[in-house]
Amino acid sequence: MLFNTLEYFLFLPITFFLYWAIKESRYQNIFILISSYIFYGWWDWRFLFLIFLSTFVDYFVAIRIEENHKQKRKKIYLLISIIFNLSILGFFKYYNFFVDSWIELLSKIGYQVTDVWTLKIILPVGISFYTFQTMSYSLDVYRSEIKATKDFISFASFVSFFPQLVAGPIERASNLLPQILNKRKFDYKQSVNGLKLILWGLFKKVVIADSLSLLVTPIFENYTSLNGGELLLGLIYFSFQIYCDFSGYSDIAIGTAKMFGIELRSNFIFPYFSRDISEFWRRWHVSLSSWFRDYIYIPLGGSKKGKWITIRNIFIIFIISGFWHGDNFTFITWGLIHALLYLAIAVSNKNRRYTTAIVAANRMTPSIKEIFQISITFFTVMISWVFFRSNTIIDSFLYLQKMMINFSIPISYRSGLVYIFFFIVSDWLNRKDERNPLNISSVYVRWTTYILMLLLIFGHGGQKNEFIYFQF
Amino acid sequence: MEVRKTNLSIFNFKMKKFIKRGVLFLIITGIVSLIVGFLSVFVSKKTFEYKIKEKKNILIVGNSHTECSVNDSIISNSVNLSQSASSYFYSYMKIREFTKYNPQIDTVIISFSDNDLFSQKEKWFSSSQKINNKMTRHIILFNKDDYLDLFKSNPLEVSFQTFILYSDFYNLHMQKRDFIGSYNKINVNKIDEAIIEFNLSPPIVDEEIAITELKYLQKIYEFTQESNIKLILLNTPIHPILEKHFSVIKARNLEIVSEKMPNATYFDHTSFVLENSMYADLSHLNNKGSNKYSEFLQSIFNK
Repeated sequence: MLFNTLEYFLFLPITFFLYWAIKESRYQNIFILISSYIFYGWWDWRFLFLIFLSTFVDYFVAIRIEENHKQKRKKIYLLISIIFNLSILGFFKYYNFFVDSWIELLSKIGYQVTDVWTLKIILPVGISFYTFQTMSYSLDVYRSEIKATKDFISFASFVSFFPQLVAGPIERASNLLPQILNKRKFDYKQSVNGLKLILWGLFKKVVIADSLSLLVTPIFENYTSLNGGELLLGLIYFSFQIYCDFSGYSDIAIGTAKMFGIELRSNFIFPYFSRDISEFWRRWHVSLSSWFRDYIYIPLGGSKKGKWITIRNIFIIFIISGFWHGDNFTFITWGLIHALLYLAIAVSNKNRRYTTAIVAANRMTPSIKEIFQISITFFTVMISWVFFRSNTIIDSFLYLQKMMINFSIPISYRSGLVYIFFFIVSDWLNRKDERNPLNISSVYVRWTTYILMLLLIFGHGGQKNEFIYFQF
Repeated sequence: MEVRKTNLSIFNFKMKKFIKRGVLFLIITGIVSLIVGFLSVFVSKKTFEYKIKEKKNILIVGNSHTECSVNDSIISNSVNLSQSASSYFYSYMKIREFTKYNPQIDTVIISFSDNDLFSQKEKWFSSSQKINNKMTRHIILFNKDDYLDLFKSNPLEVSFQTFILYSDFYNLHMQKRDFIGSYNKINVNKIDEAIIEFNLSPPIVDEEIAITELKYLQKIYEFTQESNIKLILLNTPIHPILEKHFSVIKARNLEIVSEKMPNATYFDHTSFVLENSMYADLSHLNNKGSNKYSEFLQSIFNK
């Protein structure tokens, strides 16, 4: 079920009222579990089995890890969880990639493979998200950061909690599980804030991202026949399309969870106002980048074991991050570019300059220096998106080459700038709190804004595009 | 004695407040969207250019087959208002409304391909996806009966669309008549991929008839008969392998025409000879193909 469909528009209020009509948290959790499985099964019920299996394995593995006192045994159980989760992820997401790459490699050295076992594998929606979530649970229990739960229903609800099941934020058990285990009370303010986030998320997805998508698709498909200015516009549009699409999804997920009395982690904290690439990675897809940091980068030694180990670790997490996004070398190249950009800052120890406050936190406008920093960061991130969006690496390079060599003022595709201008202004005004958009004091102005936004959402809602991150 | 009132309600005070405000908000939003919707339809109807040039006496309607095959700039006295995946329901409305404003129209050409009456085409009328894509786009052509017919087929989707009647206002004003249909110039040629796909899974030849499609095709026939307009059912060129595949259904379609639309003219041009490079896919022509075919049609109409 997609968030931007009529089905969800009916599903959400029904589940919301039934959920709060149930007084006991134990039954509420059973209800969450059933609703989440309906939500997921709406797309393809066969893959419910996979979620259940992943839940089942990590539930028992975590208990075994906690019960065993021998470190070696704990490690074996942890490995069971990691191997199991990575195997299902590897099979469903990367099997065809490895087979195709192998055939291509062999054909390059003169062997023609004619008979090979290939499968038409459908990628189960959300598999990259929930496998990471269950794995992190076993890892946290192994590191004694949390206690293994004996409540299977609550654990299954934690894994499949429908707002964040298919595209995150990737939750940590330490944050979400206690909220599911504890009693929840309906909070008027929390629910209203949740609705505001859903509205803002839908607006970003349906009005901005989907409108930009109508321009991005023809530009990237016909890039050979367009001028450099139009290609630059295509790149700017895609940068905002993917941001509004994915952060819109996260906002809807966080907002929906709020309505059920649950607080999810933030996933996007105004990444395009970052002053350097390291700040960008603290603000972009936070739940995934912090996952890589906590479960891969730091265990590998992080930046504490000398320069070369740091460089190696940076490359590892960015390449894995690229690979996580999909079975195409374009994503790996995208990861490599970010590794290089990050390295340039990390080796000069400037990667922790902007760790907390947003730019111009106490001012209305940024300084000239900050504008310059933001522009440079955005430009580099934008260039890297070419690799993310193009079908092949060759297409990416040709796109960039054509954009630079054949540059002239764009004569078409300019309409998207209106959306971007509006979005930048509203994001800037709201930049102090990503979890509290549409913070308008006057009731009349606020309600008028909500109604206007809803009219625009429904007015733009005809296409019902999938969220980009569903494919990952 | 004090009597304590038992609260049997499943929701507390805060939740009741939330529900009350939520319902109020939805009612206001619904009313505003209906007002905006009806206003936008009113304005669009008043400003839409129904009138076509006096010299154009041929109206072409239908689905992607006529949309991609008939280049109305070559057949100078025609106007093509076909649009892909259009049910005969929408073609009927186009004919009715455009002939009202353009009395010079004496000929209507409508796509009538071998597979146009397959039962799966029923979805073109009633599926949520199609209503979502077509209803607000064509809303300026609707009358009350059209609306009720569509409503009966899918009440939920039509009700929802009624609240967003304004959604195509901008597109309609920017793209004008092209938004409801026009000749579609396709530059690609994907015939090789299409042949491979055909060999892997050939399309099903469906002997069941799409009842609603046939109903509206007959309404078109009756309307043109009453209005003294010549109706041409056009079976546009398709690739020989598809033509052979669909040939089993031709006799049935011909029978339907002769039984239910005896005064209509049926042009079967499926075997019109074209090179492979002139197809976009097996059932659609690209611009090279459509130009050649339109020149042929022009020669017929100018005889």
